[in-house]
Amino acid sequence: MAQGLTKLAWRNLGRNRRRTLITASALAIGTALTIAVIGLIDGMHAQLIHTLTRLDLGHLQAHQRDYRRTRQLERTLPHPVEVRRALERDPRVVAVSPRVHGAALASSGRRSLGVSLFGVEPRSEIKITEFHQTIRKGRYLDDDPTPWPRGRALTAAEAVDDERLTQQAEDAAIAEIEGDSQSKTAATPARQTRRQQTQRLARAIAPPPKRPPRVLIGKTLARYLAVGIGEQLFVSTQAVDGTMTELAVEVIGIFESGTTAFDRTRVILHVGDLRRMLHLDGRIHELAAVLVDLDRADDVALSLAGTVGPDVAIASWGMIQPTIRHVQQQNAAGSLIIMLVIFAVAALGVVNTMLMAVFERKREIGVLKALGMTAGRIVRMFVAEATLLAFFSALAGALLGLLLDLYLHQHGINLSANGKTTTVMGIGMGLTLRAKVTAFGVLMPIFVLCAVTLLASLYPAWRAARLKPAQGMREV
Amino acid sequence: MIWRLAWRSVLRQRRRTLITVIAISLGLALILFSVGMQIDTHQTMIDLGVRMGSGHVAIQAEGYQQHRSLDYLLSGSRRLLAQLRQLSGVRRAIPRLEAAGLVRAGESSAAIAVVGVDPSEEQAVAGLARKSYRRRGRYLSADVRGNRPADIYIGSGLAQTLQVGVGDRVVLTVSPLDDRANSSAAFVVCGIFRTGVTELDSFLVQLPLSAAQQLLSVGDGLTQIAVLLEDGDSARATAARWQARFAAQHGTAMRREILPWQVTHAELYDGLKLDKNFNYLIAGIIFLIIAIGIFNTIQMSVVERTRQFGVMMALGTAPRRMFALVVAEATLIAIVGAIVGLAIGLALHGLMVRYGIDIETMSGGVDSYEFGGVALTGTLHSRLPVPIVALWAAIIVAITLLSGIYPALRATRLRPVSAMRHS
Repeated sequence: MAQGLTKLAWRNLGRNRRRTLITASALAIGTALTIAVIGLIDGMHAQLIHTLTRLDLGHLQAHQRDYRRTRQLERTLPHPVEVRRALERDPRVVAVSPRVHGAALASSGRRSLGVSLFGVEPRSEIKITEFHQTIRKGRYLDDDPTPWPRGRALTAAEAVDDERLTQQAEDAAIAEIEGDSQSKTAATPARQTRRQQTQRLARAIAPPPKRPPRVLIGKTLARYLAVGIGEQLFVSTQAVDGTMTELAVEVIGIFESGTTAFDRTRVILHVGDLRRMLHLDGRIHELAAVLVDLDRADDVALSLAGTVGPDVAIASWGMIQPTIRHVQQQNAAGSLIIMLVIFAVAALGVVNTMLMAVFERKREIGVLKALGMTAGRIVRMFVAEATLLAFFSALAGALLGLLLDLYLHQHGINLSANGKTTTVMGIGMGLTLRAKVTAFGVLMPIFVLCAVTLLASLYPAWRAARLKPAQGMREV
Repeated sequence: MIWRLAWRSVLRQRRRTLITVIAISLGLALILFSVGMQIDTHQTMIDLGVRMGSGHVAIQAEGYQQHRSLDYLLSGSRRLLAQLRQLSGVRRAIPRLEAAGLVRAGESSAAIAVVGVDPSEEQAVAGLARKSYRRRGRYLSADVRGNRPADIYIGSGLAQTLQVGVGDRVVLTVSPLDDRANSSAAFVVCGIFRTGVTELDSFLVQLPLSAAQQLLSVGDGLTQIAVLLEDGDSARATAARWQARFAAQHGTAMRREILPWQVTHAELYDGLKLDKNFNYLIAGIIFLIIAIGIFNTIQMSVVERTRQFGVMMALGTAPRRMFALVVAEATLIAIVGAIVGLAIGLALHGLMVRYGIDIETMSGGVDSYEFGGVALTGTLHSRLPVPIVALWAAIIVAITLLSGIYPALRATRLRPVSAMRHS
């Protein structure tokens, strides 16, 4: 009998083909466009996450427990060798690379800018990040660090000198801070000699490299500092022991990642060179890893956290950059609302056509009731009609939506009128926005469509069921 | 005559008309609601962005935007400020001196952007200086107290990196204009802010302008004058006008760049544009669905009345008038739908203006939402300029009319005899 109902419903739909087609097309187009919009939103998120993780973060990072909060140089990763081995052994991890971070003032001529120093291991870093692919001029870093002579321990006499100079420098600093202007002016020549002596001692402990270490910088930084390939920059930074070091570095490559802050503030160099500059010896701040599946980064981070000891923190990209998660959640909520609105409007169309169908068929519904069809069956008949309508609309809509999605995936939408990369939250989006097709993004609209259409059929069905047989038959 | 007839036809199918009207008004109301919220969000972000950043219009020495170096200083800034403040349409003219520096405390250091500001001006402008951003301490004070170190206003991220609190001392190192050696000075942290934008909270400090000028040895030089206009929408036009006037007065002797916020805050501008375009896309989809619904309804009503139309034609009604009748029906539905939609939309708008939506509840516990370098905090309201409301209402009426055209054409093509035979 259920089969009979479906057949009846099918015939009813076919009775006014044009009307059915128009109603179905509204539903199908709604479904298709919703699928495409969700595809675009998902595509945008995927692109943001890709840029974020493959430019800088990696999928997973390990640090000393307090490093991410304070960013202090001395908070280096405990047992880096063991942690690296633990990460590399995990089958879910594809690659691991060590890093050192520092802050510096970079200057060239009279121009200077605060930069962040990013020390990487060139060979393993290319498995983590893709900034090397955006090098526009020059080349990538060499595998080996700059030859850097070993320092020697101070002699007894020098140690005494060191003690005295430190004391004097402290006194001078305190005097300066307290604003004792007299000592400031009077001490200038003495200060000069002190400075020279200090530098000599510093060079004994930590001699400068044989040639300027080679660095990569962003396009914006290169423009601000007006430097090109083969030219030098001066970098002044504070080492982990508090000493200020000034060092010339040579620019060998200029990259353009499209991410604003990255192109303006990063100076990328060999991890060995940066370690020497910051007097960090064998220490590192960070291990970055790329995983097989970036969506499972949270699980991997949590499960690895237990194996590396309490003083090491392991965080996924989502824990490090929570903003992008919020944007994702907010957009998901947003697209659900949009979907409901689109289908609510489409559902009103369904209510309208079905009501019309009920009024047109008053006579036959009356006859059916007079012949003993129950109200429940009449409701079911109309609901079956709506189900069929929803089913075929969904089918057509999903097909059309998938085609749209595939087109938007293949060709994308051009985001930049002037060839400039668009940024969202400062993160470079690339030149084209491509849709991402996910099962959820296709199934969700279909599900909502069916639910909304069925709901919309209830009122007309109820009206039909309430019809009195005699009254219905009397209608022309 | 036509209108009376149309009105009667529309009323004859009350329920159908009602449902169509609901579809139209629901669509219009929702679009007004989302557009109102979007305009308010965007305006708030622009307002915050220009107050914290470069103003509606930024005046700089030519080349500064490109190179960001002290080699491009605005000269004669004091006179320029006074002149600007007298111009009509200028709400505030804000002097700024920006440079890069390294800040240290103990063994921690960070590379930062140093901005010299006029404390009282900044407090009036309420950009970074606004109270809601302040977590601890107070804002910069302008008075120089003899040889005591000047105030420095820093972000929460930086305070954490340096492990400093209010009253602690930090040493700032910059490369000044006059020589190649770096110069350092001590400052006292007077207050700590938190905006929710990492770029500001971890990488920006403010100093009194005089202290910054002294540290950088730039005399009374500035890198930028940020101008807040009475009418922010005129930024582009104002910038172009000033640039032309300046060029006419000074020729090529002195070059300045006068830039609207769309250029100085390109990231924000691009982000808002993307958001706006996305909203248009959604509105387009909703309207398309509405159009199909309306088309279906009108089409049905025409088919239903085939007999009636046949009679009218047989009685000598011109096809033109038949067409007009169907379009008139669509117009009535559209107007009623638009009016109801306007009423609902404006009521929602009123509620949003009155109560608003708290960002914290909306985003699930995050107190600020960063977009294009500006963090949105507090409550979202709605803003609906009359032309925008009129525009969307007109669009929905136009769409309804367009969807009525095909059924109306069909009505004119009926043959009286066969139409009358239609049951």
